[in-house]
Amino acid sequence: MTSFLKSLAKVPMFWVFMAICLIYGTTSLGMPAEIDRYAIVTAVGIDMLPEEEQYEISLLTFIPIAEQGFAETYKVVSSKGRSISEAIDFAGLHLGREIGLSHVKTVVLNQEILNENLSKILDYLSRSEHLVSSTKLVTTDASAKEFLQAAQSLDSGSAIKISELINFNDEYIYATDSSFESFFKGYFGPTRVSVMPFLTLKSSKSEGLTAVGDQGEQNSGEQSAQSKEIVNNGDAIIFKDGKQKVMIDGIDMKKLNLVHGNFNIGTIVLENYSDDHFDNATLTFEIVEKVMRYRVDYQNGIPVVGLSSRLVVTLSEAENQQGMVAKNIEFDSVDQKMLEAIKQKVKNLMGEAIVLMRDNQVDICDFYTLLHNHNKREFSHFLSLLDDQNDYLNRIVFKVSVDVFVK
Amino acid sequence: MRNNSVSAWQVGILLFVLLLTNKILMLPSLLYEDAKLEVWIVLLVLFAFEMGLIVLFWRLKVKYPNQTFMSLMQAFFGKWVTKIFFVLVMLFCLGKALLLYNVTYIFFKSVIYKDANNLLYLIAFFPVVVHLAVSGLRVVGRTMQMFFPALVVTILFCIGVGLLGAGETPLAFQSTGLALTRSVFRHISAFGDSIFLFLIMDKVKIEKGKWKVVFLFSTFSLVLVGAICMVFVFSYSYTSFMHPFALFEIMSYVKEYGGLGRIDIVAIVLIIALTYFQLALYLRMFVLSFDNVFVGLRVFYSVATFVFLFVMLVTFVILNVSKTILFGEKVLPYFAVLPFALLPVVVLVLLFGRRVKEGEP
Repeated sequence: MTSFLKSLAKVPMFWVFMAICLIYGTTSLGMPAEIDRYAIVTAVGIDMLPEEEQYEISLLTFIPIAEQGFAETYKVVSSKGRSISEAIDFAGLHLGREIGLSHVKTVVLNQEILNENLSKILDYLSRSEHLVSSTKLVTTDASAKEFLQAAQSLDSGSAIKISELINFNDEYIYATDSSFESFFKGYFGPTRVSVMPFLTLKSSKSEGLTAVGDQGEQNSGEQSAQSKEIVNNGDAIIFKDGKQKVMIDGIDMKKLNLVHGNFNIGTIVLENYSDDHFDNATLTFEIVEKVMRYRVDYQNGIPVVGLSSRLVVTLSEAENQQGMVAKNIEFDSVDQKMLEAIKQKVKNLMGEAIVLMRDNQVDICDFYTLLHNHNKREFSHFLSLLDDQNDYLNRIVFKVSVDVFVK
Repeated sequence: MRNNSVSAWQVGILLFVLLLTNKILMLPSLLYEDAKLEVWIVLLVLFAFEMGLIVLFWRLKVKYPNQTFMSLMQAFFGKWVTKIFFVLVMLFCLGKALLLYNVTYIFFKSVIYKDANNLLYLIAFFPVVVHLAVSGLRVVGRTMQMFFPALVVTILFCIGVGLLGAGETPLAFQSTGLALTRSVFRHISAFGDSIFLFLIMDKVKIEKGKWKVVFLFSTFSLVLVGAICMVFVFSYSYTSFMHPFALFEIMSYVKEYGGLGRIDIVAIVLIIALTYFQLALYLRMFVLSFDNVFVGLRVFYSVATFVFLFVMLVTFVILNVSKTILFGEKVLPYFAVLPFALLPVVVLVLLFGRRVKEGEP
C-alpha cells in the first residue's frame, strides 16, 4: 500500500487530479442549491399596455420547495417593464429568485401585440441561451396573464396541458409547427410567412379541443374561482414580416394542409352524397396517408405548378338521411362515382386554399423556394416582369390533380 | 511507435483529429452566413488547399525520407530565414489554439455552466493538455489511437442522428462569386493544420504503399466536416446564425423535436475529447517550433512561453463571442499566409532545387 501511494505521488497527473477535486469540490460545496436559486418557469405570457407604453410579463412558475418530497407549487407572477428583459428582471425581484427559462414550453402572446413586429418582441427570448428553440408560441384573444391563470391549474393537475394542446396541433391540425424555430425560419425565409396557433379563453363551454381549469387569482390574494376554458378550434394567425396578416379558422387551415402536405391526419367530408347505398348522406373520410408532389414547368415565361396529391382514405362515418346503412359498406369496394366525388371535393378544397393564399399574399407552402430552386433564371425573369413582386402567387398557374384510394 | 517515430496509421489518426476538431462548432454557421447553400463550394476549395499541403508533404518526404524540415530549410534559406519561419509557425499555432479554446469556452459557458469563469476552464483544460504535449508524440499518438474508434463511431452517430432533423430546403444559388471568395478568405485560417506534418517530418516513418492510409484518413476527416456542415445547413437554414455550435445544434435539434432525451450530451463529450487532443497538438507544434528557434533550451521554457502568452491573450484580449469571431475572421486569415503561401513556396523550392545531403547544414 505504501509503495503504491509512493508511486502514485510520483505521477504529476495524480496531483493535478487532486488539485481539481479540491478546487471544484470545495467550490461546489459552498454554492447554494439550484432549487433555492431558480424559479422554474414553464410558460411565459406577454401583454402590451399601450397607455403605459410598457410590456407586462406573466410567468407561470413552478417553485420547488424541498420538504420530504418536492411539493409542486405553481404561481403566476406578473411584472411590467419598458422591455421584455426589464420586466423579467422585475419578476425575478418579485420572486426573490433568478428566472430559469430552460423549462419554458409555451410563450403566450396577447392578440393586441400582434400588429407590432413580433421579432422585436421575441428578441430577448430568442437570444436566451436557455430557452429551447422548440418552445411553442401561442396567441390568444384574452390577456396572456388571464390565459396563464387558466393554464395554472392545468399545469399543476389536469390531464391536458397547454403544451400538449399545441403538440396536438403540430401533429394533426397545422401544416407547420409553431415553435420559435419555425417562426423565425418563416420570418427570415424568402416568403417571410409564419403561422401561429390561436387559442381562445372562454367562460362557457365551447366547441373545439378544450382544456378546463379552475382559475384562482394568485397575486392579489382574491379568490375568484372562475371556471375558464382554453379552446382550440384549430384557428391560426398568419404572419408576414413578423406582423399579423390574416387570421384563419381551423377549416381553412385544413384546406391549406391539403396543399402543404406536412400533416399526419385529417378528414374529408362529402355532403349530400347519393348512390345505391346512400341517400343524401354525409360521408366522412379519414385521410390515412398522403403524398404530395410538386412539378414546375414554364409556359411563355409563366410558371405552372402542378400539385399532384395521392390520398389514401378510409370511410370513418356515414350519416344517411334514410337511417343507418345496414350493409357493411366498409368492406365493399368503393365505386368510381364515390371516388370521383372525393377527388372533386379535394380539388375544390385545394383550389380554395390557393385562393386564400393568393388573396392574402401569404405563401405558406413556400412555392417561392420551389420555383427559385427549379430554375433561378426563369423565375427571376418572371418576377422582374411583375408590377408587384409580392403578388407572385396571383401570377402563377396552379394545376391540381388528385388520386384517391380507399383503404 | 518505436523510437518516437510515427507510422502511417498514427499519422492518419493525428491528421484526422487535426483536420476535424476546429471545424465542427462555429465554422458551419459562419460559412452559411456568407455562402448560403453554396457552402459546399467553399468547403471544396478549402479541402483542396488542405489536401494540397498533404500532397506537398508526401513528395518532400519521398525525396528526403530521414531529414528534418528545419535542416532542409537551413540548407536552402540559411539560419535566420529558418528561424523567422518557425517564429511564424509558433504564432500560427498560438493563434489557432486561442481561437479553438475561445470557441470551446463560449460553447461550454452557453450550454453547460454559465457561471463558470475562465480560470475554472483553464484549470480543467491546461494540466491535461500540457501533460499530453510534453509527454511527447508517442504518448499523444497512442492516446489518440486508443480513443480513435470511439471518436469515429461517435461522430458518425452524431451525423446519423442529425440527418433525422435535416429536412429544410433553403434557397439555392443565393451567393455570388465574390461572397464565396470572401468566405474562403475569412475561414481559411480554420485550415492549414497539416503544417504539423512538416514539424514532425523526421519522425514520420511511412512504408511504401502505406501513404494511401494517410490520404484516406485525411479525406475521411474532411468528408465528415462536410457532412456536419451540410446536415447543419439543412436542419437550420435561415436561422443558422442563431445556432452557432453546429455539432451540438444538430443533435439538439433532434433532441428537441424528436424527444430523444439528452442525446446532445454525446456531442458535448465528443467536443471535450477532441478539444483536449487538438490543444495538445497545437502546444506540441509550438514546442517543436520553439526548439527550432531557441536551440538547446529545455522544454519547460517553450511550454511556459506558450502558457504565459495564451493565458494573457485569452484573459485580456479575446474572451467573448464578438471578439472571437472578429479574431477568427479578420485577424487569423492573415496568419494563413504561412501554410498556404510561404510553406508551399518553400516546399516547391526544396522539391525542385538541388538535392540536400543528409547532415548538410
